[in-house]
Amino acid sequence: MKVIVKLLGSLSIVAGIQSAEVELEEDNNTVERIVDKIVGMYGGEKIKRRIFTRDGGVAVTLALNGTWCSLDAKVKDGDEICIMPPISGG
Amino acid sequence: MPYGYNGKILRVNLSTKEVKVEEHDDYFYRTYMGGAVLGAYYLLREMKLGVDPFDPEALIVFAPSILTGTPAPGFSRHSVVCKSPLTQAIADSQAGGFWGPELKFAGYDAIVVKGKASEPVYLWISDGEAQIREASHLWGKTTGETQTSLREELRDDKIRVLAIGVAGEKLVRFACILNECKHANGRLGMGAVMGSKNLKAIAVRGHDKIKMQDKDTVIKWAKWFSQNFMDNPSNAGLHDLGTGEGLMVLNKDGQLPTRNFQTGFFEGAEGISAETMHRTIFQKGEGCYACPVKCKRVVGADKPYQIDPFYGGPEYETLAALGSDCGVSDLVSVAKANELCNKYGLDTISTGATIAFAMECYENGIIAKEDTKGIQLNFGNADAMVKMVEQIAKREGMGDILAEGTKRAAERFGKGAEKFAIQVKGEEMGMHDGRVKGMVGFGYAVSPIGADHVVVEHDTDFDFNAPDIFVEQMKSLGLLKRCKTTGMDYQKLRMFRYLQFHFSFMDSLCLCVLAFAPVRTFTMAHLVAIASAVTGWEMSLWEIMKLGERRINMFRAFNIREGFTPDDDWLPQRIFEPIKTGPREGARYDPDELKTMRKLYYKIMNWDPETSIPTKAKLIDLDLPWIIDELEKVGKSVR
Ligand code: SF4
Repeated sequence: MKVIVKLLGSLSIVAGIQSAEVELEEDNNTVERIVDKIVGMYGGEKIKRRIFTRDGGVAVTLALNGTWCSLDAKVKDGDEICIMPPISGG
Repeated sequence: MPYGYNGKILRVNLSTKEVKVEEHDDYFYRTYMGGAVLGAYYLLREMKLGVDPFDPEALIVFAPSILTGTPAPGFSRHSVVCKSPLTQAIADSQAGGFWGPELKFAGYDAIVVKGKASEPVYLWISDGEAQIREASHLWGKTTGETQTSLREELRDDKIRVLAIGVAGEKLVRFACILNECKHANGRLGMGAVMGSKNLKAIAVRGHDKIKMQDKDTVIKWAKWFSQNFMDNPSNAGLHDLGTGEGLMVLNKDGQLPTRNFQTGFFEGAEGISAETMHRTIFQKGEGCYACPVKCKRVVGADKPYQIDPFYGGPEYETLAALGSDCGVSDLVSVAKANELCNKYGLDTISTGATIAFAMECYENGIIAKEDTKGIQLNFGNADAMVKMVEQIAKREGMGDILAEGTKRAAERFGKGAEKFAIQVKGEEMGMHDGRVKGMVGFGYAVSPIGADHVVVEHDTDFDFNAPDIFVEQMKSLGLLKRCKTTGMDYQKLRMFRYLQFHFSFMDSLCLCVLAFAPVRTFTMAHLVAIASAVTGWEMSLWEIMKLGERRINMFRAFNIREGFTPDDDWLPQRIFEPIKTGPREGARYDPDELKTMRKLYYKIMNWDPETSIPTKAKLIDLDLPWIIDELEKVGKSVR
């Protein structure tokens, strides 16, 4: 299956990409698995440090096809996942 | 020996040319501490009821705090407090940069200015000495020219200059004050108050560092911050992209103010995003005194406008106000407008919001091409937006009316223009949509200073999708649960109250909200530890929260004295109407909910639920019994 991953804010700067197509062999996948793939493909530890806090908590906001989601949300072929910084004040 | 503060407040009367020093005891400093609270103390004590903000009798107070200038990140700000020419209510506005610390190094904790000079003047404060000096040669100059000229004249390029531009001289009601030509006491027209006094600038230079009771502890935590801030998701983003990092996320969520708040989704958002800025016109990040976050942007460009990096670069509020809210998607045009605002001394939020208001009036036939001298003031016309900034600053053409702010301009235009004026108490709304962020919307309504976006930490930070760390760091305030972003309920009302105290003490201790919990790196425990180490007082979060509560009550009392009522704690009609398009289509603020929550808020604050006057019990609780007399003197009944 193939999914599109979009990165916003400083995540896109650190990873050096704004979007990527991620291909996985197995069908049963979660957002967490896709995030792991992105960490492996772009930026490694640097991007991991932005997506997760030191104690393993999630430090970003995630959306699946435009709707907020958590790491354990199920994904299917053709989905779009957006990893973005938390929505904060200005 | 006092720690943290100097024990000296400079009193300046520009009418009589008198300069004197006032001293206060430890009790005074521990009660009022600085910034907004210190300013409110003088306004309540010394400014008579009904004095116009431009009257020579009006006061303007420049105040850092007992903690300002200590070498820890986020302790660099100063407040300016006065009666606002935009709202006629009490006003405070904070600026970062370097001026506040330098004033402390020069030996003063605050400057209280009154009167009006017969000719333009500036104040020169150097290591305890203060002089009023002639400034006719600076009048009409930009903030940059003023700073350069003063540094040359005083033969020291390390002098910190706080100045107004031509907008302040021309009494534009949302003229701001800048230090280093890019750090602004942005909101509520305090630049015009300086202009009304013929006060062009305050230049300071000092060589004494702040005396701290336990310097090692302060240094220890400052180092800790530097080593850890990149682990905080918000501070890391601020470092990389500045406050504009959130723009695309807000747009994705359908809450980016667009075309005068008609909608929350801007199709041209990417063009004005921080990511685009980073890839195109960004030159470097800069910070305030002792802060490694360096969230400020410096930009430069040649086309279609030449941008002078000297004036910094646009922050989120500016990108939204002069960009999406005006329907403008060209980043260089927004950066040019930002440069002009900093040169001429204009608040970028009110400037953008006022141009957006004029654009909607234009598109609805309320104003025509003849009124704008041929400028086609449609949404999306970047060139027209830049031209209007010039006209407002110089009060030329239509700019003369817009320089009065949206509320007064709408009254002048008539024909239903008031429904396009997105303001509260006369202050144009910050670039966050109250229809989506419920606490922010509620804050716009009940805040004593108007529709300011820095009244309360934003709802989205504690939403079900927010990072755990923000929610965890809020728990020390006794706020344990996440909330949904939209609307208000009992839980959110309680959150609002505590988080409002929190932002309120930040403005009183002159701390940067972008460095502190709940969302950022320093926790509440760090704050208490540093504050105690600086002052030598055994401080607690309780004491600091009470300071925040004190500010809100003092501000409320000032406004009550001036005739404000609960009717002024209200939102513009547009916020009660549904967002037209985008992911948040249909979201609106419910006026009945606002009415109910407003009354409950007054009760929770221990104010009279019908009049919103703080009760005798509350004023005694906050060690402000003298305010009971101040209110009763002008016929307000305090129960
Ligand atoms: S976080 Fe940004 S605004 Fe705050 S003190 Fe640091 S550089 Fe200044």
